[in-house]
This record gives sequence, structure tokens and C-alpha cells, in this order.
Amino acid sequence: MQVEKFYYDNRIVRAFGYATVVFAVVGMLAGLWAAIQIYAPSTSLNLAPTTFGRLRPLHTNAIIFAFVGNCIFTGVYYSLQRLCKTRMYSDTLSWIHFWGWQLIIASAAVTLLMGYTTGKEYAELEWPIDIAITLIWVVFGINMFGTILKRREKHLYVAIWFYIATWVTIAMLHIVNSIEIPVTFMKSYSWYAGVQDALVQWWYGHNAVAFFLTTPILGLMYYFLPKAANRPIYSYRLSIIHFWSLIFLYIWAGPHHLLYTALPDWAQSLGTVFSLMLIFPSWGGMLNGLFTLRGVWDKVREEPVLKFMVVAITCYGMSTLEGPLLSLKNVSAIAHYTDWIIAHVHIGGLGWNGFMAFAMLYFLVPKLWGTSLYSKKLATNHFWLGTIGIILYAVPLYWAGFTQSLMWKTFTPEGQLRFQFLESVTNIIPMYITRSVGGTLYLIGAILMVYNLAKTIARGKFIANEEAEAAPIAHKTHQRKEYWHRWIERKPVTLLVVSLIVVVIGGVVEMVPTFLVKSNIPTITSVKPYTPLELQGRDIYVREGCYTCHSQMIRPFRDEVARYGEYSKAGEFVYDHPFQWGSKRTGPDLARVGGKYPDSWHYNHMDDPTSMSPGSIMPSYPWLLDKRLDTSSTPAKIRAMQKLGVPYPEGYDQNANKDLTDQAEAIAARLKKDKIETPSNKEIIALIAYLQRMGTDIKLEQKLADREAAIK
Amino acid sequence: MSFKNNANCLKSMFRILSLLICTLIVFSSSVFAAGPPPIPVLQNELALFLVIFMIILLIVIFVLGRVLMGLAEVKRNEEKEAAKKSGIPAAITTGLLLLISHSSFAQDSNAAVTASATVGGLSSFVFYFSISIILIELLVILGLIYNIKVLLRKDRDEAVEGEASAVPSATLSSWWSRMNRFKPVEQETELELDHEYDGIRELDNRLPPWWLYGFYATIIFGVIYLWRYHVSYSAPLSGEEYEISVKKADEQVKAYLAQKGETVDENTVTVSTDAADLEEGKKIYTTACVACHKADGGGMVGPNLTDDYWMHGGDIRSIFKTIKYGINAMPQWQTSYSNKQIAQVASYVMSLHGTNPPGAKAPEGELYKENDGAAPQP
Repeated sequence: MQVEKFYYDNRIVRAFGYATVVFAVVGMLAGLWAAIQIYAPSTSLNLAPTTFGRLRPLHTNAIIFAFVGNCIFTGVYYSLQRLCKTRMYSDTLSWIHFWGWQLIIASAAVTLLMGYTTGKEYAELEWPIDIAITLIWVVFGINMFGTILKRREKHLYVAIWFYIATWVTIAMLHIVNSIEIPVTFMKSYSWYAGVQDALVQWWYGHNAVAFFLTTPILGLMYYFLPKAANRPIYSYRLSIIHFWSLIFLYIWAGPHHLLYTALPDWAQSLGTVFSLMLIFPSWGGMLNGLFTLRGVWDKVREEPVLKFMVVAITCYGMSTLEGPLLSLKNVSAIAHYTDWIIAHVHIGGLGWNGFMAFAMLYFLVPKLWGTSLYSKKLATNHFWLGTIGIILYAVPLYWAGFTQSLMWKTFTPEGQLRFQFLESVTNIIPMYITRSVGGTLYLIGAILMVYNLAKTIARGKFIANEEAEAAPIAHKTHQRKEYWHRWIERKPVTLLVVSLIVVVIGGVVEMVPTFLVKSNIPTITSVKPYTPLELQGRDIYVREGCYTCHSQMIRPFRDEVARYGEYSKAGEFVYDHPFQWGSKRTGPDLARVGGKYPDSWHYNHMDDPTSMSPGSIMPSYPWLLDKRLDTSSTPAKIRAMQKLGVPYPEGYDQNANKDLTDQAEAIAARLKKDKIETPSNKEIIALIAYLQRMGTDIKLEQKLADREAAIK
Repeated sequence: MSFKNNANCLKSMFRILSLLICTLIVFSSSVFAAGPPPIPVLQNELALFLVIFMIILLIVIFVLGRVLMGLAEVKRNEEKEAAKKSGIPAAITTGLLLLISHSSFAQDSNAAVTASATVGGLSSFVFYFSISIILIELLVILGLIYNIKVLLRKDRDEAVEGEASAVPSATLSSWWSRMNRFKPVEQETELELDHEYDGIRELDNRLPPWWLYGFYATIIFGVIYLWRYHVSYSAPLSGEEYEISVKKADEQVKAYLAQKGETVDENTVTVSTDAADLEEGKKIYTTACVACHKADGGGMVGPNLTDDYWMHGGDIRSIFKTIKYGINAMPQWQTSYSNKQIAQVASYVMSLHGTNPPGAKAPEGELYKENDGAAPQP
């Protein structure tokens, strides 16, 4: 067979590589800033765009989609060409993909800071950006598949299986979770409500971790680890088993984010058992990585790339053991809503994703510029700074989470809660400070890397088109016996379809009954739609990212019922588009905050939280007191809600603003009685209306029942 | 070179798959079944579990017994030929082995019958009896495994001869190698597959046994978990768990209060002028009440506490009740403070009466005069 000569495209790899480095620093800076705000709320500068509620989504989105996203594309564009022995399918598509993705990131940064958000974690971006993501993802898919189809290598290497599974699953997750109904140009409501929205969101959220932060990175590991170590992959059959079992089982695990919530028990149990079954498929990846290093551990001592990889893979193993354990109900009861979870994700984020990205960059840059690394010593220093940073980050948060949880649950022998919520917060502030020190060290390490890479680039010469040669695929049939799995490795489209089928199953089994079987969400007759003012207030709640610190889900625990009131029921959330259950309690739960404090308390509290609860670490929201509520959107919002099945009367959109004004004036009058003079058209009035409504529908039901009993 | 292992790989995938399917079948039957769950007795569940366990062990014994008998058969045939030289001992061992395996069958079938007869109730006798049966079964299994190993080792020793004893390495690392079924790095070329991608080669090492069995174990855990929660209903779901914990806590609190003899409540509370009580009351007031009522009691978000007007009654019992249970915007404090502490705060609040702080809020509620409108003193 004639050997063909061709060129690998290194320019696109370089572009994505630069983007990775830039967004690593940007994303980490945002995270550090948010971390500092937790113990020094004034660092929010009292500006809307830089408060924790908006900075935190910026941090998570920047790290996941900008930093890790670009890292994935760097690795894929480099390894796919070489594993397929061909140049990328289309340079044009490559560049559309690159610039499209960076444009999405830029628009995400701007809109998130402006407060445009859907209020669903890691899927905060509004509908126009969602559509852009879909389009760019398709471009990436075409380019990737085009490359695979014109390959000169008959079989697909395991790294490519992971890339394919990643692509198809992310497409499915993103589309299903982003189904929303646009209200205005940058505002939409989730198609799903309450329990269903929660299930879809965490099916998405968990698998964003699985298929954006895990499977593509495993693919990168399967390429870069054997390359850097110059060792064969430990076990081919382990690759097969852990690949298929991983992608099949992962999809089911979403409900473990919703243990003890109003999600039906059977779905919670599925989340638990499938999470537990995930331990070994995940560890299959870890073992295949670590065992590949058998016989070259002495190299690990000298080679920074391998050092980073070893710690990364170990962190992967640790967090994939911890995750399933956290999915046990009795562990979740302690850890959920606390900083334990934050520590857990950062073992994965800083350890696995961060260190794999660093390892890849240290490996790639010298290769692309045809030189050697500027300073191994500097890279080793980066390694140690990063490792110590991870430890300093995680250990205090484990401590904080555990302490806080115990404080929440402690009763006096007389049966009273031992601690106020605020006490549990002020108690762990030293841990928050230590955590930010750990984060700082990690960031300094990353900056060392930037310097080291810049120096390396300066002394090398970029190889834009790398020459290579290979023979085209020989199309003769294989008669000899071979591994059964080799068959599917020759058929990328079949692999794609089978992967899709495998990942669809879990979602369907969990979602279809939750949507169709009525008994899963028992109706509560006293639960009514929000009034127009409350609806506007709710949108402000979403805009300010209150859900990043406050949950709206009281679990059926003795301490939570004592602290917050009757535990939350599925039927209470049927008009919540989107749901706002939250995942973290930096502040107390708000599910039944309605009627707990006077209107004036909320007014003062939003202006300066410490005036009402001394020692509070909540930021101030002074702009809510000054900004006028935009009521022009009310009719459109009511109409959108009607389309989603919320039973407002026919034609209510035209009368909604009248009701809104009446309710606002009533609140302003109550505030006046407490010596607070404010016009009734401010945003704060709407927010107060929403806060005072929360969780009160069930109390109403109790009152009705009591009255009925009295009449009899 | 990999064809031999090919089948193994496929087999383990099937095994995993079938276990998963079992999980789902077990589960789906319960999820989609309508109607209230039957109220189960834990004992039944336990008995059921024990019986299932016994049966599983029985099956294991059966399989092992078959293997052992097969092996013994082979051995006997081999040794028959050899027996022409040294006859007797081999026959004896085989006979003995057969005897062991047979007697174990006998034991077990009896055991199973006894156990299944007692599924209905579960007295301690039955329980310990079942446990002993399981223990015996386990012993039998161990015995069988030991015998099989002995028989096999002979074969292998002959085959390998000196090779195995060549490297008596450190125990920890050899244990690690055994756990993972490592092949020495020097021999790995035998495992290398005949392909490479961009210079990346692949070996075809066996799945680490602990990994594989760990995986099976989690799947079995999953089946049992779903069974307990959704089929037999023998483990409490979230709501039931809550009821249980509250009931237990209430009993504990009641017992504690009875033992401690704290009797203050809204019916017996009296105004205290004791300096220590007022000091305690003030402390709580400064943490819990100042946000709304101001440090001097003049009122801000909440009403003025120093004037003669009260919205929900100005006597000690009413104030105690208002604090304890809360009303309208006033939160309830019974979950945060004990009755005694609430009495102290209430006394402290009453001590603020008539202090006329500057900038106090206008009166709200009704005029209250002492011994007027209050519940008649007993």
C-alpha cells in the first residue's frame, strides 16, 4: 500500500492551548474573589455585578466550560489527528469552533455579571447563548466525526471512544436541560417545574461532571499518559469494561444530589445504588492509569508531567470513591448543603481536572515548539504549590462542613436547637480564610506555569504543520479471530449510536415516571400560582443568585423542621419555573421564610444584613432599594407561565399589573408603619412580596383544616 | 494470544450485565406497582434473607462439590495408573474426599428444610439455629475450597516446579501483586496486543480480581438496597425515618425533663425579679430580640416593649406565650430556648416597662393595666 504524506494542524491546538491558560487564571481569580467574599462580604464592593451570587456562577462556568472546555479541545485536536493519522476534517470548522466557543465564553461572562441567568446551576446561561452552544457543539461534532471517518487507522483507540461518548451525551444533556420558554431577549423560564425541574437539572448537573469533567479527561489520560511515560496501557479489557459500565451507570446517579428532598423516594434510591455501583468503573480508569506506570515509577520522581498526572489520577480515584459514599443517605444527611461538598468537588476540580490540564500543557508546549521545557525545577515548584494548595483548600472545608452540620443538628437535652444558624457560620470563618490561602497557593502555581510556558515558547520555533505519513486503511476483511470488541472499534457511527442508547436508558427510566405518574407529585389544593408582584420578586431572587447560598428545601429531619418549619412537599413546587432548591446553605434555608419576619425586617436586612443579624456574612443589596421595578415585562411573563400550564385566568396578563400595584402599595404602607418611607415601585418591594409568600401555602392549608374542624 | 482471555472478558461483562438487569427487574416491579405498601414485620424480612443466604450457600456448596468430585475423579484415574506402584494412600484420600463432600450435602439439605419451616416466626432459638446452619455451611465451603486447592496445587507444583519459589519477595508487595494478579513486568510482552496507535501500545492484563469482585459486591448491594426499601418495605423511607426520629427524641426529652424536674410552662410561669434571672434574660434579649425591638426595647421593626400597650397581652403568661410560640411576624423561640430561658427573657422584658427610651415607637395594640385583662390569678 502506498504511504501517504500529510500534515497535522498544530495552529488550532495552539489557539485552544492559549485559551486554556488564559481561562485557567481568569476562572481561578473569580473563584478566589468569591472565596474571599465569604468572610469579607464588603469585597463585593456593594456592586450588583460583583456580589457572590453573580460571581459564583461566573467562576463555575469559567472553570468548567472555559478552562476545562478549552483544555479538552486542545487535547482532542492534538490527539485525534494523531490517533486517526490524518489532519482535522476541516480547518474552517476548527476555527469556527474555536472563535465560536470563545465568543460564547465572553458573552457568558458579560451576561452572568449583568444578572441574566436561568437560575439552574452550571446551566445558568440564557436561551440565546444556549442555542449558540448547541450550534458550536454540532460544528465540533461534524469536525470530529469527519476526521474519524477519513482516518488512516482502522480501529479507534480507547481515547476516541471517550471523546465520542462525551460528544453525544453532552449534546443530549444540554438540549434536554435547556428546554425553556423565552419571555424576552435575555429572560426565559424553564419548561419543567419544581420536582421535575430538579430531577432534570441534577441529571444534567451530575452528568456535566461525568461527561465534561470526567470522560473527555479520561480520554486525554489514555493518550497523554502512555505518551509521557512511554509505557503500554495496562489492560485493554479493563478499558472496555470500565468504559461501557462508566457511561451506562453515570447517567443514573443524578438524584443523589436530591436525597431527602421532595423527589420521590424510588428515584432517590436509584441515585444511591447507581452511584455506589460507580465506584469500580471509575476506579477502572484510575487503575489503568496508575498501573500503566508500572516499571517507570523512577521516572515519576523526575518528570513533572508524570508527577501532575499521578496526583491527578489519585485525586480522581479519591473523589470517585468519596462521591458514591456521599450518595449514601446517612452520609448525605451530614454532608449535603455544607462545605464538605465544596471540598469534594475541588478535589476533583483542582486535583483531577486542573492537574491533568497542567500535565498536558507541560507535555504539549515543548512538543509544539520543538524544544524542551524551560525549567523543570519551576514546574516541580508548581507541582508542590498546587498540591499543598489542594490540601490547604480541602481539609479546612471538610472540617467546616462537618462542624457546621453537627452544629445544625445539635439539640439541648431540653429539646431545643443548641445553636442559631448564624453561630454555625461565624464558627467556621477561620476555615474559610484558610481555604482561600490554599486557593491562592494553587493560583500562584498556575501563574508560575504561565511564566514557564512563555519562556519555553520564546526559545522554541512553532511547528504549524507537522509532517507525518501513513498508509490508507486496507479494506480487506479480517478472517483471523480477534477480540469481539474490535468489531465496534472499526465502526465509529455504530459506536456513537450504541453509546447514545446506553446513556439514554438511565434518564428515561428516572424521568418518564416522574413526569407521567401522578402519585409522584401529590397535589396540594392550597398551593396557588404566584401573584404578579411575587413573580417579579422571584425573578429578582433568581437574578441575584440567591440560590447560590440559600436552599429552599427543608429535609425531613428533626432539626430542620425545628429550625425552618414543616418539611417540604413535592406539591408545593408545581409552579416553580425554575425550581430554586439550591445545593448549599451558606445562609439558612428559605423555603418557609414567608411570614417569619416583618416586611421592615427584610427591607433593613437587604440594605445591610448586619443591621438585623449582627455578624452576618451576607452581602448588602442596596441597589434593590433604588432600582425601579420593570413592570413592562409582567404581561409577557404571565403569558409564558400560562403556556407552561400555570392556571392564571384567561386574559389575566392585561390585568396583572393592576394587582401588582395594589400589592406593592400594601407592602409600602406596612413599611411606612415601621417608619420606612419608600415608593411602592422599587424592586425591593417585589422581593419582599416573594419572600413573604415562600412556603406559606401549606400553612394556609393547616389554617383551613383547623377552621373546618372548629366548624364541626 | 488474547483469544483465550477474550471469552473471560465477555463472560464478566455478561455477568455484570445480568446482575444489573436483576437490579432493575426487582426494582421496577415495586416502583410501578400501585397501592399502599404492605406493612411488613422486620422478622419476616430477616428470615427471608437468612433463607435466601442459606440457599445461595447451598448452591455454592453444590457447585464446589461437583468441582471437587470431578477433580477427585481425574486424580483417581491418574493415580490408578500410578497405583500399580504405590496403590493404597491415593484411594484412601479420594474416598475421604468423596465422603466429606457427600456428608456436607446431607447436612445441608436437612438444614434448609428446617430453616424454611420456620420462616413464619423468628424466635431467638430459630435465629441462632439459622445462624449456626449458615456458619456450618460456610465451614463446609471453606473445607471444599481447601480440598480443591490441595488437589490443584499438586498439579501446579508439578508444572511450575522451581519457578515459583525463585523470588520470595517482600510480603507486602507480593500481596499487592497477588491482589492485582500482576504479571511480572519482564513477561509483559506476552500480553502485548498486536496493535498500536501513534506509538501507544496496549497490554491485555487480567482484571484485578479485587476490582472485579468489588464491582459485583456493589451490584449485589444495590439489589439488596432496592429490595429492602421498595419491595419488602423493611427499611424506613425518608418520611417514616422522620417520624421515628421525632418520636424517639420526644421520649428522650420527656424523660430528661421528668428527671430534671423543670416544670415552668405558660401556666405556671411567674415574674422573676432575681438579678441572676434578669441578667440571663438580658443576655438572650441582646442576641435574639434587639434586631427588631432595639436594645432599649423602644421598638423598630417590632413593637415598643416599654409602653403600656400590648398587642398580644402584657401579663407574664401572655408574654411568655408570645415568645414561646410566636405570633404573626414574631418568630417562635421554643425551638431555640428552654422554658426557663423564655421565662427569664419574659421577666427581663417586663423589667423594661416604663423606661421611656428616646425615639421609641408609637404605641400599638391595646392598653394593658396590671391585673386587668390578665388571666385571673389562681
